[in-house]
Amino acid sequence: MKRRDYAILFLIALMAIFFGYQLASSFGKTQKNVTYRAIENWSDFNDKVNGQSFNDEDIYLVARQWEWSPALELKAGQSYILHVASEDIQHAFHLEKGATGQSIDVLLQPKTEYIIPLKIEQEGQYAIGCTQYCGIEHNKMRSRIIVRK
Amino acid sequence: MTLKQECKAWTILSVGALAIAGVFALLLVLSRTPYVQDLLPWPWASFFHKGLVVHVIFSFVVWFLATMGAVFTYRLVNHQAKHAFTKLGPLSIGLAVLGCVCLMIPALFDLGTAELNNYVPVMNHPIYYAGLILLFLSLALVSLRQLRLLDVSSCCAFIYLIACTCFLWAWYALPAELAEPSFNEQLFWGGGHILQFVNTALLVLVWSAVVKKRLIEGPYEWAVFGILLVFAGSGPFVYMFSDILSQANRDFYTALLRYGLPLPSVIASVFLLRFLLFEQNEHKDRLMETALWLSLLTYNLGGLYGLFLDGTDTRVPAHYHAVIGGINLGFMIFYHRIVLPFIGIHPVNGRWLTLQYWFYGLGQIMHASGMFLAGLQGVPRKTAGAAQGIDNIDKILSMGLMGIGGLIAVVGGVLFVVMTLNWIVKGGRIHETA
Repeated sequence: MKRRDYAILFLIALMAIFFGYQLASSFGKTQKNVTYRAIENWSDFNDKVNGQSFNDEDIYLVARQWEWSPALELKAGQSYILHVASEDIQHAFHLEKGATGQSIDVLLQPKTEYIIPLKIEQEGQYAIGCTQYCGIEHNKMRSRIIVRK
Repeated sequence: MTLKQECKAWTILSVGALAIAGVFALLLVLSRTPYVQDLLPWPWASFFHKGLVVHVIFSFVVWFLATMGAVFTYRLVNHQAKHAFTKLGPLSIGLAVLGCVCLMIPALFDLGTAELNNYVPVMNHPIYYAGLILLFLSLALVSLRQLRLLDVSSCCAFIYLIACTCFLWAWYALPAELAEPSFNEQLFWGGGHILQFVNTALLVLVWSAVVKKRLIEGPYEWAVFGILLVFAGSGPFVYMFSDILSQANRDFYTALLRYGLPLPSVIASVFLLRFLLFEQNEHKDRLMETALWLSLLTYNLGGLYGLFLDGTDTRVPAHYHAVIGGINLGFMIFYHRIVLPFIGIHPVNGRWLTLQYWFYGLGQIMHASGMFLAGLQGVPRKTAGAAQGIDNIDKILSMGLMGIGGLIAVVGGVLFVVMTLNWIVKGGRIHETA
């Protein structure tokens, strides 16, 4: 081996260690500012979903095979607290990067309420989808958040 | 059975798996064709998803694993005589064939329900699970045999055993009462990610075999396989430190691919690029160079697309179609230039053989690039019709490129299967004894 090879191998080792460190430090880091709590009574949560007005600060979204309910319509620039929960099995709430500048991806355990601060500055339509396989029609589980001025 | 015969058996199984996947793809189309669907002897509505499961499992899992069997057996020959007797050969091949039969039965007899979960799609029926167990067990036995070589192929074998460990650990850790979609997804999530390390290791092994020399110099080769092994080795430990159903567990495996695969892939690609650009080799020929260039380009394009993934649009399939396409091209030239001559079959060099590589390679590049461009504009993956939201000329052109590229790639794939199986059948039996 030449001296150049030692230098390159040293560089490769450093890069491998760097990637290993990145992997280790990413472990267990959930989405920033997302909290969760168990839902004791599903009908209470359902009442909040059905009774919500989009002028409220708190908005509610239910995931179930294979739909998101209800359709959300928000005001641009307003701060919201999104409460999202799965009614049946594991799903994952994904909001595309364009909405907040960073994509949101939260694994939803059944009957658990996830609380996500949400503020979308630009009006438009932003795709939400399920990123956890949830059955044969999983890929149809899509919706949009409509943001108006 | 000799090692040479075993190598031939794995070859027939792997190329045959693609043929079976093709037949099921045809049946899928027929099951959705008006009038024709009524002539099929099984309920076409339920067959669609089951047929799709069989198509994916044979074109992806069985093809890759059986090729691993062929690669390992070929490497073993370099350490033993090629006429060496193998006791394990008939057993492992027998288990794999039996497994493949079990994988088809539920679709053909309308048993169980289909799940299109990631990596290893399943049918919720004991016969199908038995098929998976037999197939994975068969390759585990071959991998255990490979360990004693203590070379880089042993690293690949060890990574495969790590993937099997993840499957077993997940099965042990998953609550029995879990809903079937969640159960199957989590069962194959960790091990499925580790299998991508196996596929990367296999690609490097076939590139090295095809150039018929040490493609990557000793310490660099160990660096490539060492990095793959160390990152993949962390896989099973995650089950110790996180709940299998947690977001931490799920996200770790995604991050494992992001941080564990690029470095070894780049190192191997640089050495292949150096070989293609600068090295003179007596075995270097036009077809081999074409295939390796296309493999290198398609694989790295897929890696590049992987840097831009975000959620549920068509950039995700763009990434994995290109990566898989690059690996498939490597496997194809490995069979044509190495395995077939080794088992006494000499492919006919001609226009169709060259065209096959161009069709498959360029088709995959067009297919993946079309999907990537469409994904950048927010076209959702795995949807059809109005749900795709194709509402402007850019999206139409992107999806058009995807469609045309896909068709061209299918022509290349069909040519590979038809020509290769034809040569194998005409090649006759290998008459030799230990």
